[in-house]
Amino acid sequence: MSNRANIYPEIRVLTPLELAWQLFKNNFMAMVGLWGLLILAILTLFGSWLAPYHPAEQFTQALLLPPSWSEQGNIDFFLGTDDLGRDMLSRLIGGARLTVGNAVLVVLVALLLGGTIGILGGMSKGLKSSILNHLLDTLLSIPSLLLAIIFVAILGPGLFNTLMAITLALIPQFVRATYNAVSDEMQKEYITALRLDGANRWHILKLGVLPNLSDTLVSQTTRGLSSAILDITAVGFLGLGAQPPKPEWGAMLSHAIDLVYLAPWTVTLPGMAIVLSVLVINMVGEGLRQAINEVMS
Amino acid sequence: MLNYILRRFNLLVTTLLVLTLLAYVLEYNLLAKGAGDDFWNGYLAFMRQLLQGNFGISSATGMPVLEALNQYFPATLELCLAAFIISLLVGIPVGTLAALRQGRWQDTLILSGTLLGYSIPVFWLGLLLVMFFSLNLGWLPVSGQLSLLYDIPPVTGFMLIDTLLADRDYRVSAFLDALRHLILPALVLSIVPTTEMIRQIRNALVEVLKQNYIRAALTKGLSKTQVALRHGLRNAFPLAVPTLGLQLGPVLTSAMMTEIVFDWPGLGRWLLTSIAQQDYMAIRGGTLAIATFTVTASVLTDIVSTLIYPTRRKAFYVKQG
Repeated sequence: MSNRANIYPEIRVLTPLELAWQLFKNNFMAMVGLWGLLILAILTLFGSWLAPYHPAEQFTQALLLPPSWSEQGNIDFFLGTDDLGRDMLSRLIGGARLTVGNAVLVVLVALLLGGTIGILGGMSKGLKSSILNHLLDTLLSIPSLLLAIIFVAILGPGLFNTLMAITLALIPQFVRATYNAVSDEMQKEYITALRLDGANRWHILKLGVLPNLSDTLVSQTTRGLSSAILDITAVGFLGLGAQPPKPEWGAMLSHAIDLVYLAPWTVTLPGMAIVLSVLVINMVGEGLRQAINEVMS
Repeated sequence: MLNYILRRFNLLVTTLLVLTLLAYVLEYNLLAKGAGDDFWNGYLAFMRQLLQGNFGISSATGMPVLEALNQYFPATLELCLAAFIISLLVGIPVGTLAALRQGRWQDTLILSGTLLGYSIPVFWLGLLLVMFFSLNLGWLPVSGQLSLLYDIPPVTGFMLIDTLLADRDYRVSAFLDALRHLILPALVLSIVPTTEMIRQIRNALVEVLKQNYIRAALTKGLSKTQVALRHGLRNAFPLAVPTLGLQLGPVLTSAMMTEIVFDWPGLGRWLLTSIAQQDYMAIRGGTLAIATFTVTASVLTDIVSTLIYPTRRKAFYVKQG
């Protein structure tokens, strides 16, 4: 069957999803980001099996060892050790779960809660949605990191409180984005046509609104993910988030500040980890946004 | 138009009321629980105190919170203003360049650069620059606002102005010293508004360059650069400027991080010290001040940009009709 020549010029119409993937695949930056994201995901999920040592294991004979490519380095500790003789590579891999993994959790919760509120608000009209609108304007004018810091100040320092605070701070952004997208969609004429056909609200939501939400949700999720990572590390850096023995990247940085002159790699490496993971997320997000915009227009 | 301004102000007042309520809930739950006060009565009393300018007394230093705010706020503002000025100086030309070379390697390079700018945590960038410029090269001071050798009486709170106003022989050298202290933190902080500015100017200019009047100007024989500078940029500003107001919030929070790294005696460092000391009066006053400032600034930029740029007004009239 398959090797018989096709004599009819057949035009295969790509589904929107296939088309978006085609566009995404041809975008070099986005693909680089995707591979990076894949590696990051593997490190986050299976890091505890891949890391050479336990993140908290101390090697007292190897304090402040520089990375292996320097003169005094040792290949046993590829990225060197910190002032307590803990292997930097293992700590960074362990930190992936604490920083990136927690950011993913936070964004998923915010997406679920914020998306639901946004959809409900966008489908309703009048006073209810107007109150929601005003309340959101209020919360959105305060930056998420400041909100998180205030919440942590009230709840007390700690990783769990930080995550709660950042979730609470992210929810308004998700509500706002979905709310705007849904209420824009509700004003279009095909929705009116659906309603005239006797579709109830659930049908309108399922058939009309949800499929058209994808670009909003995708761009908001990637944006939320990168800001969640930056916020978690920032709060950790301030000493309000994950507490010292935990290898959270921000907390590692704040611990290493005193070593800036003595052991610069303890400062540069966790920062590189943050920058690279946020960068790959932003690259993928940008690629997805471009592809979806192209498909939509 | 009046209707619009009134609605914006209404939003501002409601927002501020909600904020004070939040601040009061914090205090009620943490401090006043034992007092057996009724919640709403307590809130009214709290509001009366606030309106009289009484923010309470810091439990760590014994200083009135308002006095501390007056002392620390100008330093933060100085830092933020410097960052905004850098963002305008860098962002507008770079954004214009990217828009003019849209789709070519210059554009790709600049856009990738902004992507990197979005991804860098300011505190880490601060540490790196300190490591390089202050510790390795020794060009710039590591931290603080002014060398301890100089004794400058505070007048406005802005160190750059105060050093010039001070009646001292070493006025000029103190000014230069303050400037040298400002360079690194302002550069680090400016990464936030600059990346946003480049993106906004570039996208706005790309939109504007598609318009018919641009085509008309091009057919008249003006060069592309001339058109972009004379007609394009002027019409791109109204689209891009409101984001400056929106940037104030992120810049203020990034300023908090920058202040920690550079030990800058500003609001953020003070607030975080207060959090560490569980000084609730100070936390309440500090957060109220920062939040009030950002909300007011964002509402004001909204109103001002609507007043100045007729195109923004047009959309509003259409909605009304």
